[in-house]
Amino acid sequence: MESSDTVLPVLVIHPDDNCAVALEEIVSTDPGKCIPKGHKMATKPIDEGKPVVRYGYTIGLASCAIAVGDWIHLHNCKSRYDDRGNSLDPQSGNANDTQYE
Amino acid sequence: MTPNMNNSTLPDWPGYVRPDGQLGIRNLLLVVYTVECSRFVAEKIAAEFQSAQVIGFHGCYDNPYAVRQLLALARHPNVGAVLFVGLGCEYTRAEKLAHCVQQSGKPAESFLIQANGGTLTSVLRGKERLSALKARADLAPRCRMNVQHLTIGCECGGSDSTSGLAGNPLVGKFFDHLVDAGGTALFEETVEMIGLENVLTSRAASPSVAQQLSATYAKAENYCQRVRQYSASPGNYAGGLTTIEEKSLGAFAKSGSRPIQGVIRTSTTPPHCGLWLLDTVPDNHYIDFGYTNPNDSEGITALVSCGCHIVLFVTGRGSLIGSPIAPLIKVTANGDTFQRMQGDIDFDASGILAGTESLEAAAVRLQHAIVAVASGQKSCAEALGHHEYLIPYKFQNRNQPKDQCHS
Repeated sequence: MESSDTVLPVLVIHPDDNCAVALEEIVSTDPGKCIPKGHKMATKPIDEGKPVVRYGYTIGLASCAIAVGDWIHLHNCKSRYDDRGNSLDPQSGNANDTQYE
Repeated sequence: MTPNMNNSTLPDWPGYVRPDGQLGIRNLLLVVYTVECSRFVAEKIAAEFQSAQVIGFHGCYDNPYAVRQLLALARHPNVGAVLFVGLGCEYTRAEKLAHCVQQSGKPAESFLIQANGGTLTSVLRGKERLSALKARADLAPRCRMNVQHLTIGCECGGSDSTSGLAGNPLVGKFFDHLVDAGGTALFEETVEMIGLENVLTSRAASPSVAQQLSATYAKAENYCQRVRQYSASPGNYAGGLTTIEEKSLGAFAKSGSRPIQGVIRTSTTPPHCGLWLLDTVPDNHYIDFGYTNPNDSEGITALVSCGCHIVLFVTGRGSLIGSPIAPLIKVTANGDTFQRMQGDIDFDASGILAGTESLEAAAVRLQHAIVAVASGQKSCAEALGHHEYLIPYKFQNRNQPKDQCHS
């Protein structure tokens, strides 16, 4: 993470949350810690298989260990219902499995 | 002190009184095609009339869900008169639809293209009949309307992270005020409540409503599993939403905080005022009619078929759609999207996340914007001539709850 006196432009919605929402893009030399605007950043370490919590509710499970400051998205968080999301491109959200011809 | 949305602080406006007692905020002419084959003629007829809109059903084989929706939209209080245009071969009968609408007292007529000649003669005949219908619709009596007479629906589409943080909570706040003022609020998208069964049932107005909500939720989750489709799009993921559960929590914020009075089906009107959940998910049937919600316009059309005078549409990524019978008011809490699509989006709620406007203040401003549109001001989509809709093949039982009608 950045040094402790840096105030990151993030919003923590609920005290139980283990992630925050980036109100502005967060740039880092570590690609895993670059957070696009509107995306989520881990504020607590999350073990593989444990809930990712936003709004005070579980929004998915960590599909691998997530460290503080990590970008949380399709590459490390999975739905308990929908298994297609994780096949999509994390940056664009586009599907790679649509057959066009 | 928080600003207040008391009725007395808001202006009333002249509405249109329908023969069945309903009050409308527009006096539209509606041209309805009963099969894709008659759509071209229907559109040509309507093109000559400023206040005319077109809807229809594409299928040749009839579908009870679609027929009920055509009728509900034709009887909508914003519609002053209706012309049904059929080809002649199809199962759905234009003359029967016209007869049903006439029984509510509303001017309605029909004709079949095959019995009338071809394209040119049918367009000519249609224009002549629509002129006659317009003369009758123009005589609609007026009376004062205010927010308590309104039924407002909400939908979200092209959601991003701002939708759940501010756009949808804003509509929820407005819905609380609408319900407190004696109005009627409708939300839908049960396929975007995945993972929220307990949150949903905890909002029930009574134990029996909680059971209804629980069954409605279970049906939606089961349907998603069966068709292997959840209601999240590439744009949602690009906008920062990672799972359907996360999107659902944001989407559900549109419902506000008031008790849910019950569950209604497509093409039925809420039995009384307050907050209602519209269930658009197909019921069990020998054949499934495809995906849960094919696009935003399908859900909006279903909301309008339940009598919504206006539908609020919350977007994050951006949207430009409209709606043919009830004005669509588009809201975004994403300031970049608003700047990019100013001519398409009615309401900028980006101040909520920027910290320059409170949710409450934005809700008051939204209510004034809604009253302005109810009074006749065109929404962005209306001004641009947008009129997207979708009436699909679908199966829903008629019987739960019983068909209710204000008339």
